[in-house]
Amino acid sequence: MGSGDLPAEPAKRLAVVACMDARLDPRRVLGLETGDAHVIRNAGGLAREALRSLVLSQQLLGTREVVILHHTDCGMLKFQNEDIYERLGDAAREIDFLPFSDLDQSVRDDVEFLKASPLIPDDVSIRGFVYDVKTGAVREVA
Amino acid sequence: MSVTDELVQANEAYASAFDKGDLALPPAKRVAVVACMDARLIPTRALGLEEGDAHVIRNAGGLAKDALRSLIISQQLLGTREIVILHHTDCGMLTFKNQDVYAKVEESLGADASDIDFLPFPDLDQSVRDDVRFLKDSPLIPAEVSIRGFVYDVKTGRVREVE
Repeated sequence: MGSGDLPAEPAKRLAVVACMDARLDPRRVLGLETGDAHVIRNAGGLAREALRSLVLSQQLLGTREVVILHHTDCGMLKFQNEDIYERLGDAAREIDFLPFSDLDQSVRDDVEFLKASPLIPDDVSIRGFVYDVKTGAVREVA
Repeated sequence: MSVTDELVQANEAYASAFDKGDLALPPAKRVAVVACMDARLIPTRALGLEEGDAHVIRNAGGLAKDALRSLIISQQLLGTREIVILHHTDCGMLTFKNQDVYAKVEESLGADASDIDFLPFPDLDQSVRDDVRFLKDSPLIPAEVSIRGFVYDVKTGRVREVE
């Protein structure tokens, strides 16, 4: 079967939530092929912002595993909301840019957030990893 | 073995051949791609992007509204100057209404999802135009940033610009 005939449902019934970082390509890092998995990405790889997408992934397209993937040297460790508010002015103050100060804890927090959510089924597997941008290796955190 | 365990095994092969440990944090091509999460669409492959080239922001639909926080960080802290919006044919977002998801969540989980707008859309090309317009109108996106929108065809692998 060519790639043009793949169904919308991810073959591996998996959704990956990863940071948008340019150095991290979830497809290459995790060996994913076209059609395998939903990939949700944002600044930080934060589960809170991915909730809308994850509910659709699970309820409409049948995924049963979630992988959270944050990474070393993440930009989210290097700023505070006030830094952006100063650059963009008051229009930005309604946005929480969600910086974090502890990488491993950010992964644990996201796994915990999803496990505690009434919108995520209890039988969905949720595991969290840190990708090392220096070595290319992932390390399980939670 | 779970799928997640398979991914960890696949990563061992990636890491053992890894030679990109010196890439800079800011994207080399100064571009941010906003694409749908769809499994059939792999933005780095479809657009010829290598590690280090671009920020890639993905969500259900590839919606700019959901990507605004990430785009501001990309531009203000990491210097990107172009945005590519990438939606695709046969998108799941064309197939449901909020009420359908609320009913499904109630039925399968006994939970109430009605405080979430799942952002479905009825017209694919219009969804791209709406997202380009949303970003061009945003006071938080610099006027000189290039913003262009495309539809990826899951049958052919080709992208088409939506004017």
